[in-house]
Amino acid sequence: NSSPPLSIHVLNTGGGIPAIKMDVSLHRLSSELIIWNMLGVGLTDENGCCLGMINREDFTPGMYKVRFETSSYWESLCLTSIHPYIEVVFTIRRPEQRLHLNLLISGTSYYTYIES
Amino acid sequence: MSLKRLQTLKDHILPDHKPTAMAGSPSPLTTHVLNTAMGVPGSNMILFLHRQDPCTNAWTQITTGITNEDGRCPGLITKENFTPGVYKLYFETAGYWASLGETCFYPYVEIVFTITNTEQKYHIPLLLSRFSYSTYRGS
Repeated sequence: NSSPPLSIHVLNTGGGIPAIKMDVSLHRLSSELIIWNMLGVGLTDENGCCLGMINREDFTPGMYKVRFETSSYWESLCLTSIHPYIEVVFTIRRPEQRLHLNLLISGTSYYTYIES
Repeated sequence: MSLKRLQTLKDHILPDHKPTAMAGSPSPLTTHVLNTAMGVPGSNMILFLHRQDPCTNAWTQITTGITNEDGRCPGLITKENFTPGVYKLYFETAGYWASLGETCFYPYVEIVFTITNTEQKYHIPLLLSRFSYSTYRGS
């Protein structure tokens, strides 16, 4: 199964549109030191989706975070937001078949949920 | 690294947990934790408030607290200390769900927000289930 184990989907609920061209990055907490190692970066496409920041072999159990560069995104739309960036931290206990991490944003709120 | 180990190391780095007792006017910044999975307030959840130093980008802890039976934590910050800047609220969600005998996808939740107008009140709630959460700016 070569499909990416993690997919990201960002929706701009303020505008009712996908959040296109948002910079995102995936990080894993190192087990030796309390630092985050960046594993991959991505850019959301015309559907607000981002795949392929990590492949299946590397998506091992551990603590991960996805960082969404929301400030730059809102600035590109000449809008502001109360959240300068959004980080979603989650734990993988066993390799999941496929994980969809969804984020819905407006200038004053956000909602995130996981489907697996 | 286990979450327990991470917490132990964090306790070495951060000051001891001290519930704050703020006298005087109510905090201009409030929060409210709701357990949307069970339809109850998120009570007895540990949280921290930090402010970011604009020069070094380092985070300074301002307050530590624990939500009451209503899921609220009064006295987060004084009006005098509430200066414009970037803040974050850290919610100890793993510990909260563990105390209910459950696991949670999110070991903790950090909400980072920018305060520009300190004349206003800011309400930053957390609506939480095991596989989702949301926050918004209220007043």
